Amino acid sequence: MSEAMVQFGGRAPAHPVGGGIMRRLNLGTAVAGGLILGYVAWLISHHFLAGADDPMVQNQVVTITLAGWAFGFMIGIGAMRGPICWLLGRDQSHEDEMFAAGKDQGVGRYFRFTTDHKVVGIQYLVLTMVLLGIGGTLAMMIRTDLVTPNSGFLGPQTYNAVVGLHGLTMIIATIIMVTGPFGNFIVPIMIGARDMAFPRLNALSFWLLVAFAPVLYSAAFLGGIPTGWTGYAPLSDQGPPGMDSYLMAIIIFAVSTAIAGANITATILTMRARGMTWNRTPIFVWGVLASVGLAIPAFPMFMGAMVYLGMDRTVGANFYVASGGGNPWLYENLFWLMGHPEVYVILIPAVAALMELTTVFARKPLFSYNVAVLGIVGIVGLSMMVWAHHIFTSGWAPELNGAFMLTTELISIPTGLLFFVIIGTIWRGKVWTTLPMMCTYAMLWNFIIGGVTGIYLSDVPLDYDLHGNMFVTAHFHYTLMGAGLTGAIGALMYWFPKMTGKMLHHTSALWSFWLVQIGFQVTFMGMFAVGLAGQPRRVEHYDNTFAVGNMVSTIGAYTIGLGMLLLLYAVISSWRHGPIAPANPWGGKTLEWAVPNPIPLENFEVLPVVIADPYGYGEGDFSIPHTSEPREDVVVGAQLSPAGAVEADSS
Amino acid sequence: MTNIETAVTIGDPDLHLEDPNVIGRRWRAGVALLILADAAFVATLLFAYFYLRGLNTSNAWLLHGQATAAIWVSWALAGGAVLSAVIFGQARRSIQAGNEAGFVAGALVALLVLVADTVGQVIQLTSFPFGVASSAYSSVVYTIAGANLYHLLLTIFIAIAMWNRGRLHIYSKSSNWQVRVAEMWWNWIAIAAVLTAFATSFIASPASGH
Repeated sequence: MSEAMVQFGGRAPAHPVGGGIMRRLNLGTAVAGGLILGYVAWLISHHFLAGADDPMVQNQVVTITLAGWAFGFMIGIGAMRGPICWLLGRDQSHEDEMFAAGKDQGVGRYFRFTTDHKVVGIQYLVLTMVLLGIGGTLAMMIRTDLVTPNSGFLGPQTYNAVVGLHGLTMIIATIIMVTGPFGNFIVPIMIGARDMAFPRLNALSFWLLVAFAPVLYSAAFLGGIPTGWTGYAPLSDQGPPGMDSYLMAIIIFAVSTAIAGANITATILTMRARGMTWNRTPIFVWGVLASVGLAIPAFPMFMGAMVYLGMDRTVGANFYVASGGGNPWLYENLFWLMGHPEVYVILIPAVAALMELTTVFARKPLFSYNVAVLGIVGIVGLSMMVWAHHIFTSGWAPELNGAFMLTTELISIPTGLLFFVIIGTIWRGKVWTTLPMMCTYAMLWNFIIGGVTGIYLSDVPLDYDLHGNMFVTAHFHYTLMGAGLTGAIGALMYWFPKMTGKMLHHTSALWSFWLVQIGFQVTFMGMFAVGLAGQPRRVEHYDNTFAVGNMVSTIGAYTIGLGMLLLLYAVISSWRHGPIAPANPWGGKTLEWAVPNPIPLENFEVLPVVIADPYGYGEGDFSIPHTSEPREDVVVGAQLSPAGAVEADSS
Repeated sequence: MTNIETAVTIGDPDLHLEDPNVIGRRWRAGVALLILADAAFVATLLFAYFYLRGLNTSNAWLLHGQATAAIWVSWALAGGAVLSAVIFGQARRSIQAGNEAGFVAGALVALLVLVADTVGQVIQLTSFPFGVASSAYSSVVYTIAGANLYHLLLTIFIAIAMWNRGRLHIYSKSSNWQVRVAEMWWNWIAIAAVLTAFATSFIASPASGH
């Protein structure tokens, strides 16, 4: 009897199913499927929808074509195979399951609808790096344009389109940058599971993101996203067909995020190893749980806002059109009901990753574990009650400004708790100052600046002065990039040996760290200065008064770009030619360090049993993880070798 | 050994068995979370309805003299969804009692009710006495009807699978966790239909005279 048989209802199929062409589906067939169905959709819609010059008809054609692309892509990658087989009662054999998991398929499994969580984690990592590369290139274009007051490098329309694409690309990239690669690759092993709760949904959420990317970037050829990443109505109602790309991309992304969120949450809730009680659960797992748990209700609201936008643009509905009884405030509320929790969707797992690695490198238990959990839970709760601080200046419900100012300022308390936990962990620790640990220090510095300037902006009178200028831009870059991205880079440096089996090249990564961090301070301190002096954001031309600050920011941005290229070089060269990593190079005590390199397909031959909290540093030999109980359970037991590998104990 | 996780290796090192109850519990958690996501979307629809109705911007929530959707139709469609959920719940009880034939018959009847409900939903969508662009009210009502249709179509897919898999004797008294998971979704779409029917029963804006 196979696992598949149990999973799908109890009847073993007579023959393995899914052979032939279904096993040949990959990225190539997905692109072909997307292009064919997209073309067919364009042909049909173009033929049957009357009035090709009517902007609304153009929007309909673009929307239908993009939907055709997305469906064709998902059919071409093989996403529909599972549901159809299930409908027909043709459950998959164990052999099919192993094929889907990418067993013995080499590099090819990274280009298929592979269900193994480690493959999906690597796929997410590469996709994140590609998105950050695109977003970073767009940022360089913005800064090049702003190097002098009237450089003319892009022109106003192109500048607006580039700013919109940069913003959305970076938001998407930062949302997935921790929970995607590390939430998929590391979390299941960290909790002692063999895979995610729903491996097919895992692959589905990733490949939806791949389908999403061309939809988003088609905007560049369809008039761009002139609204900035927020896509505020009514401007977005009136924008070019690029806005259809925007809304379709967001809908696909929201579906992907909801699926991924449900999958990761169910995995953590139901698949933790025996003995891994909530107060023995690693703090990174808490961080990922909070992030994806927050995303589950938040992103469908964003999707709702996009459906309404699509209705307005394609069939003349009146959701945001004031003359027809609609209201742009509806959009603003729905957008920020997602938008502010989304900040913490990005930040919490990044900070949690740094808390996780800080215990390892400080060789101390996490200072006040319960306070760390309380801080995370507090942020999650309050983050749903602060959205309107983004729309103080819109005129919406001014009588509520005081309340939203208060909730926004309150959120600094649980955020501060996380700072105290990290500082308390470092305090009097025997700190091993590795590159990941340096990211913790950098995050503390950056997040203090991002957090304190956030408190300024939560103050209603000050917000009226600062809201429309570069001060806000600098603030959220300090938060999302200075804290979030730095945390993600720290996580990459920390888990790189486990994910790739290679050690990261230290010298180039060290240079990268300093170039990025110094460049970051130069760029965004310059931006704070011009913002305080009154330079408006999202405007291409600016007064000569701001010339020096912008020149400084551009120099800083190029320094960041150089540092990021160096990091990319370090990652690629180490992955290909780096020294082989030991199973547990840092002496970590969480379960991912207890599995060998390369990690077996199902992680653990025998599931481990957790008998202590994961941060018992200073208790015996820290080079051996102590999270499994040897020889205690004849069936569900594990014995740890000195090298950290879990060995089956079925005696 | 507890029932939290069984991990027995037989022959193939990659072949691990799990207790169906464990798998079922995991699926119920996952589907509950997906329902939460869908509920957030439905809440967005209800929010849009009541928010635009409350604001009555430009006094154009509902144009003066504009015809409105028949309330009883929305309630009838919600009733259809509830009826199919109740019938499927009865089918689930049959399979849990070991009555496989009862399950197949119940799933088929529930499917047919659902199909009839879907036809009714399509008829409602195509026969509203106003266009989608007539007013804010009409825009939201069309969107709510579209969302209900999406729910029904997705549930028909699940219903066909339930009936077909029941017919193939895949479900039994000892292995029926998928039926329970399907029932969760089924109940949710019935609740969503009732909620939207309830919301759209309040038509006139409190901020207007009509």
